[in-house]
Amino acid sequence: MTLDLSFLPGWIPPLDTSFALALLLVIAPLAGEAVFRLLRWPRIVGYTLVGLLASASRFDGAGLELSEGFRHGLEVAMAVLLFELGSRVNLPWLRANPWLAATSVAEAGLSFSLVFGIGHYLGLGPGSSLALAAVCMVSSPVVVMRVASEIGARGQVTERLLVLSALNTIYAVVAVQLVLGLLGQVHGNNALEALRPPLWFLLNTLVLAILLALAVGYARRRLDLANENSALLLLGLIFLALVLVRLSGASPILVPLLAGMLLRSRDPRPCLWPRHFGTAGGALVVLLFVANGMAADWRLIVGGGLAGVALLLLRAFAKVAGTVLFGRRSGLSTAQATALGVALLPMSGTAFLLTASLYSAFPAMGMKVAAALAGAAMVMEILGPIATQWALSHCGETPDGKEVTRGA
Amino acid sequence: MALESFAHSRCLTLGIELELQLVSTHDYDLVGVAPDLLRVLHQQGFSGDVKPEITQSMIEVATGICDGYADVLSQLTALRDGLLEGARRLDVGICGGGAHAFQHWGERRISDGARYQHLSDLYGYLAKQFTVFGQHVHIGCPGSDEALLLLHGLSRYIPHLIALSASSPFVQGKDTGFDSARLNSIFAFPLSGRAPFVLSWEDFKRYFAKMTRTGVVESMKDFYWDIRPKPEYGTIEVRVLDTPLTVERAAALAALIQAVARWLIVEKPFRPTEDDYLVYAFNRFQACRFGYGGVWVDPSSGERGMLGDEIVRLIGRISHHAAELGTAAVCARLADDAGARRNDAQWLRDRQAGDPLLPELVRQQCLRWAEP
Repeated sequence: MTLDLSFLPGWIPPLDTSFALALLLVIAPLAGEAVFRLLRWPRIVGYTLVGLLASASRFDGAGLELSEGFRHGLEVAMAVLLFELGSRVNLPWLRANPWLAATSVAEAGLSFSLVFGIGHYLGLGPGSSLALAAVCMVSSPVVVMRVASEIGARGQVTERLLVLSALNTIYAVVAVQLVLGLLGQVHGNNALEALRPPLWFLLNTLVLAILLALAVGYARRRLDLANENSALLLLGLIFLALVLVRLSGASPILVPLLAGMLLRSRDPRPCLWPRHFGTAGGALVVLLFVANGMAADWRLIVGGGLAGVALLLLRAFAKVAGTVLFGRRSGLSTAQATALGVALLPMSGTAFLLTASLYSAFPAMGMKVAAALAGAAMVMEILGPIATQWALSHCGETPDGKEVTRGA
Repeated sequence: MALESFAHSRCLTLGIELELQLVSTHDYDLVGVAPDLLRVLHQQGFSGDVKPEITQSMIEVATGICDGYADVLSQLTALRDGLLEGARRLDVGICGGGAHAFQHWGERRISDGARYQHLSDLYGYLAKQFTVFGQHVHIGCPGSDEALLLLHGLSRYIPHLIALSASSPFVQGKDTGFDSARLNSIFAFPLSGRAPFVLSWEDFKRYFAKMTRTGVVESMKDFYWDIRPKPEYGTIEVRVLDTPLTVERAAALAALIQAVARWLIVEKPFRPTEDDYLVYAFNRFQACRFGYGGVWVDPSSGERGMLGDEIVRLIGRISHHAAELGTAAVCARLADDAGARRNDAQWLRDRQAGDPLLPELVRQQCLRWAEP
């Protein structure tokens, strides 16, 4: 099937997949609404389900999710959410409340250790186990950010959820880079050589994050970012930053996240822009969750099934235990600390992106990790958003009344 | 429930309550963290009197019994510093101001507790609109009849206090044109307004008995009057002040009320009458709407003046009493402010003219509140 769709932006995939894309864009919002109205679940569960079904029915025979343009589009969506998340993180809070910092270390550290343990037990080997453990630290910042903003959650658990998710994402990206470096060492280089690529990577990332933060900071001193047009400019800046990320080999996850955090810490004036930078960003976000669903490969899930379930349970235990451990000392009630742990459960998009970078560096190991991870991640793509929503509304951080929706 | 008897209190002692805003440090909208803040304050061994209010984004602190300005200021400062320590642990902002500049009332959450739930059931959306922030000043009275006399004597200076304390020009994201828009939220309640004109406690008890018999009220708490007697403390409570942006101003306003009360009690400059209230609602509206620029009609003479000038005149008349109380300089500063037409509402408007982003304005309020 060949249609002329040259009027679409360049990142839209090749023509034979565009029909698939269009169909998904029609079905996904319908499914999101259905899930929301019938089950009161977050809409993104609907988007993800559409992706999963598409993947299961081999609907995407043309390989939509593998096409480079499509992936770039999704990276923008993710970057938008990461940037939004970063701008919510107030680092001085960690100094004012060291128990919150301790909570972050505890929940990420416990997740890392327990998952490494199970990886080792399952005979994955130290490299794969480390990679798996690093990836499992992440509480999908994309899901967390999206669910919290969709239900209009406000309060202590919500704020801490965002901070912890941003931090464990940073830990994970850095850890994956170190793992890659170490694996390089195994392949014959010396230790100093092994550390060079990760350091170079982090330096590139930091420079780009600073540039992005400066550019956005400059724009918002001159423009009213609450206005849709200015928000489009932000989207453009992020797109541009991602192009530079690809050219320089920096982290597409850390650059927007750190840029948001830098912006927040450099300029205390409140950062407010339309959610996801307006409707364009919003459409990309829908596609992002569809693609997350599509990325799940059923063959891998079957292969890593039981290990995946064990992984999931241990990780859930680690997250909840980590937040409850210092919960009261950090100023939460035990119920809130438990809810915070539950809200941290989502793992998906980021996990896949991280595995993808492992996969491209070390295909054999990436495959093994992916198998164990895929089962867990697929389950969590559905359960994660529901867990976060349940946790936030359970501790009273969503608006009163029946109306759960709120505009941007 | 019968009215409790009027307790003994030392004449002209003060007790201050401040209702404060709890805001997110991300978007500076109100955020319902009062239960969290109370928990954290308890953990840090905060000994001050701190209570939840009707919605979860409000918190109320109260001083103990204070002798005068210096005592009030040091107690309020200690309360403020304790609150700020707790707020930092939660990464929330605390600020003064009579109303939040852009919150939407529909997003407020009623606090747990039987009384708040009852009020919410009774008043519906008015309860959520009651998310406004005031300063209440208790004044110790030598006796119950004296309390009523003081209450009705002070009534004519309610507009003065409104103009001096006004700090709620912005409501629901717009400049209302009022200096104190907060009081409009309070006038919506059926039992708001002024106390009935009775000058003896026996008459007041009879009035209260009649009101309870109708079932309209159960306790003194159900009256939302501008000034009301508080028999269990042996005080009258002035409730028209917007919460100022700083504890210094809160203490200064208390000092002014104390000096005016001393003047009324010692000199008895006039005998309050029912007819004083003919101009009451007019004067009060003018003060809320126009602040210092409002018209004030003298209830005795019927003469009209501009409220800002009347404040300067009043403070001149009571300066001797302020001096006796050691607050001459504090009261003189308030007179200077009135002369120069400076109040917190004006400060907020000036800031907002410099940067129209209202969340930034609330952030500025938080900084101002935290200023040492």
